Amino acid sequence: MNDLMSGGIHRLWKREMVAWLAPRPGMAVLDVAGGTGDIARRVLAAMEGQGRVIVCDASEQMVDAGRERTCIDWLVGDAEALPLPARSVDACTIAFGIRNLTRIERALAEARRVLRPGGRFLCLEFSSRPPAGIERLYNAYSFAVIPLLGAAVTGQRDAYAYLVESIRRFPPPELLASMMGDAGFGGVRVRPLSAGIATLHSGWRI
Amino acid sequence: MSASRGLSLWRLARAAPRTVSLAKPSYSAPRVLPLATQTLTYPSPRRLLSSQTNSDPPGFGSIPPRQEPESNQVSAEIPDSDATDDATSDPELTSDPEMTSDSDSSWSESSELDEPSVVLEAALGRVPALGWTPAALEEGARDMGLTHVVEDMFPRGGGELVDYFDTVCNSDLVEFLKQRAEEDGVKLLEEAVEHRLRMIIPHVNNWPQAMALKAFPVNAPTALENLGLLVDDMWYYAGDRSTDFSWYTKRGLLATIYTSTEVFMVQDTSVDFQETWKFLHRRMEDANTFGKASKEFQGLVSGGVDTFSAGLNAALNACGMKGR
Repeated sequence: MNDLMSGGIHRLWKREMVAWLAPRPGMAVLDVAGGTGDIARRVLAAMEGQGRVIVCDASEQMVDAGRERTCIDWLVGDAEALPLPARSVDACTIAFGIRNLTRIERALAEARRVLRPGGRFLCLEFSSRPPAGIERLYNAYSFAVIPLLGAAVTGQRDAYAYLVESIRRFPPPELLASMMGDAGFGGVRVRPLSAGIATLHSGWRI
Repeated sequence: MSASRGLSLWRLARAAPRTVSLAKPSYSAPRVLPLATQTLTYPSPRRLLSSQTNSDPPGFGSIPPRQEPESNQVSAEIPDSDATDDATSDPELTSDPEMTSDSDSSWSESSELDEPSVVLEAALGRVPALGWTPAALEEGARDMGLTHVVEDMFPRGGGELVDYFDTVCNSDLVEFLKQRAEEDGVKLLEEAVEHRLRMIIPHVNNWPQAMALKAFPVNAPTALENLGLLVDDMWYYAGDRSTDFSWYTKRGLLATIYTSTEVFMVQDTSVDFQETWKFLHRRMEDANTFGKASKEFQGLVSGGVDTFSAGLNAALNACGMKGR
């Protein structure tokens, strides 16, 4: 379904996220709300299998489905209350999960808690602002095409209408960057992807 | 940012009092090095983690203070102050034996990363062994009890380390110059150049690598900016308040003298770099003696016709490029 909606570009976004993270062997990386294990799989490949990858997802079905993947630790937990001790991971990533949370500040504070000092937080998410110049086309695609696709392929039109609306309600990239700064991340950098359809945020836990 | 910097330079050239700050990277407060530069020892990173504030000495005068980078208090190394973090409402977890590892206890005692310069300062201690490289940043981070991932905070790697070193040394030089402000101008310039170059001595074996890094296109703009600020500081405390084109020629000339002496220094094998200081003295004498720009150099006249080509001639002479 992701492939259909984004035309396969989401793979490139995830690849770019892991490339920017540049995981090295021996790191401990946590992927929050990463039920499909996309990011975890790529991180593990980049680390050449040496190191620790933990995936934490709120949905038990996703975790059960993903457990077949070896070498990755799977946890069931809420992003706003991560089931990990403080200062236990070197990097924390969240891809397309943070917009579903009711309290983003809480998730950022939790990420800061579990990160070791100097650890890195990376967030990949859709931008709430359509890219300049193609707003009409983007809006038409979002509000007309995506729910129809959802209805046709999965039979759940409402879920995909929710998806589009949640993207629009999400804070714009600059606001998220300042929220990260407030939560205790330094060196916050924002990288728009695909002319601004998605955005990568990176910060270090200080 | 470049437009405002250009405007700042223009204002600086036009107005006498220095009220404009050329944007400087916001690194930590300057340290006060001992004045006995011959016995300069590079302080270890841990000793530097004491609170130091950056403030002008009292009674500095009516010249408006230059906008220093905001004084960052580098706080002392604190053992884990997030005690509340560990007493978490971890619903499950620590019961799960897989999750707790024996490295957790060491992490709970590690220090906080207060600001990026903490890592840079620690990395400087690793430079003699590892060079101006990202590896030095990683090891420096580990020395401070931080995860090595923080090295990604410095995308230019060794170039950022060199930039930090230059910035800190320039601040220390300003402290030195403030205490010598009443002395003879040109003599003070020579002492200032020597003092600043002596700060490189602990790293002189790796300095060619640093110079090469500064030549890279990603690092060149900040390196040139640091050099410009350095020679500006030297001239300012030597008493120069010129407001015409000689402002540029003087600083360009001093920059040339500084860099040529620096190049000489990295290949000098004499005791205490005596040959380097002699070389420096000869270059300063050249600038004093030759060409129309020499009169400006001595501060006897300011402005004048055709100063640019005169300055260029003097600069070429100083570099030894006119067959001297």
